[in-house]
Amino acid sequence: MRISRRRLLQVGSGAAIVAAAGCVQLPDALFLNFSGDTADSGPFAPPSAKSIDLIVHAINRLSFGPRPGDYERVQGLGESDQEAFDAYVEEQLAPEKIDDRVCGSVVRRLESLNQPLGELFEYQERLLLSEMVRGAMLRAVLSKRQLFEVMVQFWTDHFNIDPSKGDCKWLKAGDDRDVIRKHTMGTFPELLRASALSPAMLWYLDGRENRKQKDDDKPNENYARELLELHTLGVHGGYTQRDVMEVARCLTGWTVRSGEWLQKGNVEFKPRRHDDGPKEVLGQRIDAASLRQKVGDDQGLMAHVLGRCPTSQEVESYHDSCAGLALMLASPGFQRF
Amino acid sequence: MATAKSYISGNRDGRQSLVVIFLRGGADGLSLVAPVKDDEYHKARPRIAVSKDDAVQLDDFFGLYPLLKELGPIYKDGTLAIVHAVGSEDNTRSHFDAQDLMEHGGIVAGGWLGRFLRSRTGSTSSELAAVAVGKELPECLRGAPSATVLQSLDEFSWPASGSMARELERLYAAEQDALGQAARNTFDALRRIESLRSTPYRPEHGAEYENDDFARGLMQVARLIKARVGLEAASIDLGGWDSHFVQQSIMDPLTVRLSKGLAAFHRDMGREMDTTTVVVMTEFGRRVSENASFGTDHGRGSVMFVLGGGIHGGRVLGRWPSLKSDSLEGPGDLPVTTNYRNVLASILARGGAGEQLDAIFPGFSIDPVALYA
Repeated sequence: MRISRRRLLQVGSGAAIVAAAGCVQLPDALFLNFSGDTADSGPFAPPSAKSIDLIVHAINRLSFGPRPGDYERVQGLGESDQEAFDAYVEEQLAPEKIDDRVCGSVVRRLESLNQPLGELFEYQERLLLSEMVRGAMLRAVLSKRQLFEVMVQFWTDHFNIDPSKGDCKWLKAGDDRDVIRKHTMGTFPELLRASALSPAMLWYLDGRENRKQKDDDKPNENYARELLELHTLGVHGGYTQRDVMEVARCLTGWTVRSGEWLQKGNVEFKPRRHDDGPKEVLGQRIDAASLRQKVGDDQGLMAHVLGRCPTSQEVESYHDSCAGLALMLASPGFQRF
Repeated sequence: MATAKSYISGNRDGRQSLVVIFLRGGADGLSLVAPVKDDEYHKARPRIAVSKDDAVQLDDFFGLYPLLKELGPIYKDGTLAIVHAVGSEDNTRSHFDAQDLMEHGGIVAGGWLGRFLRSRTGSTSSELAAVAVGKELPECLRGAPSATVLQSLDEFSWPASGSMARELERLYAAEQDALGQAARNTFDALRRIESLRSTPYRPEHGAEYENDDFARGLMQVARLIKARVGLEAASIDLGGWDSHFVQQSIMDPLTVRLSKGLAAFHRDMGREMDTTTVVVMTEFGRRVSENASFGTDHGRGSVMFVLGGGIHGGRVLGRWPSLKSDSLEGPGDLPVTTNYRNVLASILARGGAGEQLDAIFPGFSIDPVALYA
C-alpha cells in the first residue's frame, strides 16, 4: 500500500512550509529580494464577476497558489486578460528560460538531493526523507518555475513510490531527480521507460524479484499490474489478468543490486532469470529475442502498452508530451481530478 | 429471530457497537487460516505454506497462522467465528477497485456502514455515533449521519487556546449548509472528548495493549464504548498486507499486531463484548501458488473474522472449495463461495437492520451466514 503524495501534503503543508523554511535559516534579505513587487493592492475582496477570472484561474491551476504580487505580475504580461493568460502559460511551459537562481541557491543547501545514486547510501534515511520533503516545500514556495514544480508533484503521485520500503529509503531521492524531475516536461514514453527501470521502482513494486529461473517459478505480478492499472491504461482500461501475467513474464530478469555496497542501486538484466518464451500482451505477440533492449525501445513492451492508451483527441497529448498534459490542466473547461 | 432490539443492552442508548477492521492490501486468507491438512495447499506452496505442526489447530482441517496464537483461546471459547473462501463477486484484482466495491457494498454511492447508520430509526445521532480511527474517513462510512475521524482521544483537541475555538464556532454557527452541520458536529465531538480526557484510561481485566497504532486505536474504541458516548460504529485499518515478496517478512509483524490487538481489546472489554461485534475483512485473498520470490500475487477468496456478542463461534463457516486446479478460479485463485455481504448482513440484522438490509446492500439477494445459530 502506498502513502499518497496528496495526503502527505494535506497533513503537513502549513506547518512543514514554516519548518522547512525555518530550518535553512534564510537571510531576510534573500526573501526581500525574491518577494518581488508587493505593492499594496488594497483589501482582499471576493470575486464579483460572473465569468471566471482567467488570471486567477491560471495561477490556481498552474502554480501552488498566488503569492503577493503574482496577480498583478501576470496581469501585466498582456494587454487583455486573455493575452496575459496565454503569455503566462507560455512562460511556464518553458521553465528553462525562467531565472530561478534564488530558489536554486536555497535548495542547493540540501546536499543529499545532489548526490549520485551510490552516494545516497551514505546518508541516514531520515535525513534523506527530510531533505526531500523540505526540497519539495521550498520549491513549491520559492520557485518561479511553478508549473514545473506542480507537474513534478503530479508525476510523483502518478508514479508513486513509498520511501519506507527497503532500499527505497535511499533510492527514492534518485528517482525524484533522475526519473521524475528529469522527464517532468519531457515525453511520457521516456518518463514511463525511465520509471520502469528506476532502481527505486524496481524495489517498490518488487520488479527486482520478478524472475523465472526454474520451470515452475511464477513471476511476481506486482509491477506488471500497476504498470497497466496505475501508470498507463487505468483499472478499466481493457487489460485482463492474463495481460498482467504476460507483462510480468516480459519483465523477468531485471533487478537491482543490493547488499554489495559499491554496486548498490545498480540496475541490471540477468538473462538466466528471464522467461525466454514468446508472450502475448494486449493482443500483440512479443517475441522472445532481444527483449532486453525491447523493454526500452520504440518496438518494445512499453510501446505495445502505450499503443493501447486512450487516444481521444483531448488526451492525445498525454502520449507524447508531459507539457501537453499541463496545457490540459490549464484549459478553463477542464475539470480537475 | 426475535426482534433485534431484545438483544440490545449495555450502551447508554441501548445500541450495539460494531467495530470494522479492514486489512488493506489483500491479506492472504490461506495463511491466516491455513488448510493445513490439504495436500494441494502444501504442493502449491512448497516454501511458504503454514505447516501443520506450527499452526494453531482450529479443527481437523484448518489451523491459524502461528502468530495469531492469541486468537486460539477466543475461538475455542466460542466468541470468534471464521468465514473462509469469502470475498466479493467482482473479480478485479486491483486493490483500489476491490476496496471501493467492498466498502461501498457494490456499485453504489456511499458506504454500507454509512447506509446502515442512516437507516436506523430513532438513532441517537450522537456526535460520536461513528468514529474512524485513522487519518481519513474510510469509504464504508460515507453517507453516515455524522462521523468523526480521530487518531487518538488525547490528540483530538484544539492546539491553540480556547478563544480560537470560540471564534470558529461563532462563525460556523451562521452557516446553514452541510458545512455548518459538519462543523457543529465537530465542535460537539470536541466537547464530548474534552470531558472524557479528564480521566486517564485504564484498561480492565489485566488487558495490555501494545504500543502500535492498531492496538492504540482499538484502545480508543474500547474507551469510547465504555464511556457510553453512543458509539455505534467504529472503523480501523490495518494496512500493508500486499505480500508479493517474502510473504513471511510482511505477514509476521502484521499478524502479531492483529492478534495481540484483538486479544487485548477482547480482554479489556469483558462483558461489554456481549453488545460489541468486531468484524475483520480484506479486499481479496491471494493466489494459491507461491511466486518465485517467496510471495503470493493478487487472488480472490480470503477470510473474515467475526467476534463478539452472541456469535456461535469456534467454527470455520463457509463452503470450502477444493484446492485442486480445476476448482480454482482464473489464474489459480481460491474461489469466493461466500459473499462478504452475507456475513455483514447477518451482523447488521442482529443490530436491528432487519428490513433495511435490501437498501443497505442494494441489488444483491441476501442470504445471511448463520453466525448466531
